Amino acid sequence: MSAPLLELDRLAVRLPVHGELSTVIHDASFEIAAGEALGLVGESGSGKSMTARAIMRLLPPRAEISGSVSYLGQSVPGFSRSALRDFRATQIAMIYQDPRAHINPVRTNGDFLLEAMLAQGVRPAAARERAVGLLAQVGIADGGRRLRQYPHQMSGGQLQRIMIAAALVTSPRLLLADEPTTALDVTTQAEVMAILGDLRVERGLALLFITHDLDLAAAVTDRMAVMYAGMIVEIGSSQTIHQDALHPYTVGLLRSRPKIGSRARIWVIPGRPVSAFEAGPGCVFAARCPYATGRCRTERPGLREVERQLVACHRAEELKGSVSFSAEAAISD
Amino acid sequence: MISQQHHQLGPADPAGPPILQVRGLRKVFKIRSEGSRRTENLVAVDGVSFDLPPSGSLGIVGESGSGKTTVARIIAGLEQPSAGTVLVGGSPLARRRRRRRRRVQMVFQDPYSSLDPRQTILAGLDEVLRLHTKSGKSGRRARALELLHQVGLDERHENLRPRSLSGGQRQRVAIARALACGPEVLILDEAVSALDVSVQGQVLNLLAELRTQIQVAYLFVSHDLAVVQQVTDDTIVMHRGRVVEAGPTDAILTSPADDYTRRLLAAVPRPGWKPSRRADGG
Repeated sequence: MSAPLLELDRLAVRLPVHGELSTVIHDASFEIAAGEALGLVGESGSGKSMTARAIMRLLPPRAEISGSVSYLGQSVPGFSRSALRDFRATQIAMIYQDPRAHINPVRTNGDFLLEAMLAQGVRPAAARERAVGLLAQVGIADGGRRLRQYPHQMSGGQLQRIMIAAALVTSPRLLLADEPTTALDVTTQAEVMAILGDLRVERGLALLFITHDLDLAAAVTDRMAVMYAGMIVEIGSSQTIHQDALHPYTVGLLRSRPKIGSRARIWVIPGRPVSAFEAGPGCVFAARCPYATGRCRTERPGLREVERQLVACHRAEELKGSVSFSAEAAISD
Repeated sequence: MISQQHHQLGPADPAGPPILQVRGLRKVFKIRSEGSRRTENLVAVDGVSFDLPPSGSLGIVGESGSGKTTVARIIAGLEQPSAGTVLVGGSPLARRRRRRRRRVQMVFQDPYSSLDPRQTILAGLDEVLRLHTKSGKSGRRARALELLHQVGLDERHENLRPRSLSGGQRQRVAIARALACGPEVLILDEAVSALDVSVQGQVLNLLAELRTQIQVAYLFVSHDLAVVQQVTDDTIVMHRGRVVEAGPTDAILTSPADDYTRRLLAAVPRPGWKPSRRADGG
């Protein structure tokens, strides 16, 4: 296999909070091959959005990072200013959960879509034609009229399509999508995911798909990485993880979502999701894990290969297939 | 037309007459259209009727703009209907707010904005009990603690303020406050939607448990079909202000009769799911 498009190796990030450095990512390692879709799944505070920002080099000033982020074998933190500009302008693009927060409400959709092309010296008429073509690709037929309209005249689903079109303007090879459908209705979500799926095939676009929804990630990605408290705890083929997860957190999370067609009491992971800086010295999930032993609380497990998956759990082999959580109602977080 | 009919829901009623009867509910909002001074009528809710038996649980499912929240707000007394009636225990919603509150309570989506940040958990419960009961101070405290226990909290939480609580704990407090005056109907409007998956499960199980312990009927408003299945017996599906399908939740989720319900179900991600593109670009 050729060098991966993107590779993170033992990425750790600390951010200054009230003057002190606080850990937001303990250990994130994964790679994305050209054209591949990787899901990055986790609850709030797990560090998944921070991981995306570290890849884009959009962390706040004075953030301290260790480990490496490489794009086509080159270190992203080591990019010169012009290389960084080039990287962001031509190689990578990002779409967000709330498109309305990432578009200027007093400028037209056209201003937004054409900006990058005009800055690169494309003639306005040609840029407009290209924008209309891109809008057609994301399922907006009357592009000419839409370019003259303003963001407030678009529905949430339409605006997210415009964001996707804008991300495609520079023909990137990697798209970072941070909860792009969370704010949308399910039927609109299905359409946006179908558009992203088509674009991946047509353009060989690689995708880092960040979501809290394990079922969605399993359906639309090739592989997925499950993140908890700033640490990737399991990574492998999406189908395998969805069926035979090894990490107790992944197993619990999968079973704490109700499934259509079953009224069985759902399992409950006790407690609430913790942030990276709250995690103890051992396994980040130890405080909520019914299988935690003394070793789990003192020695942090790293990712290791078990049954073709990578999992960060000391007891992965012995627990395989037997993890269960209580279905008690009264457990409070 | 199906949405104009009255939907008979629930088992053949061992529990007596419905606690909530909604008939022909209609709500029209006047909106000003773009770049014009004329107002237009937006029909948010159109001919919605249903019954909720005592201690029953009814889901209202729909996407944004379907009118589901407007129906909930009318029943809670937060909006006036343009037409139609809401009967609670056979009588119209009392105009007097306090009496209405005693019968119908509501839990909102966002537990970060629905609690008073300056009030301790105990003080918040005490306020409700003072207004609605004749208990003395010690009686109220005992009842407040009982409510906290019912929602999986305890003495350790009584003197905390909302900012020291997690999202799931706040939603538990909101549920305890709603139950404090002993309502017959609890409206839960996307009450678990803002919670993390692992915490959402805890609150869903809590809601299922509570219904076995106390006499209260749920009106559970949500866009999330799998969640609705966990806590409801019957469901109505709303689309563009109208009821497109009504019946037992299990039947609707396993063999939906309406096209829109089928489309909703097909859009729920699952392994092997192929998202589909519709042509209308909406």
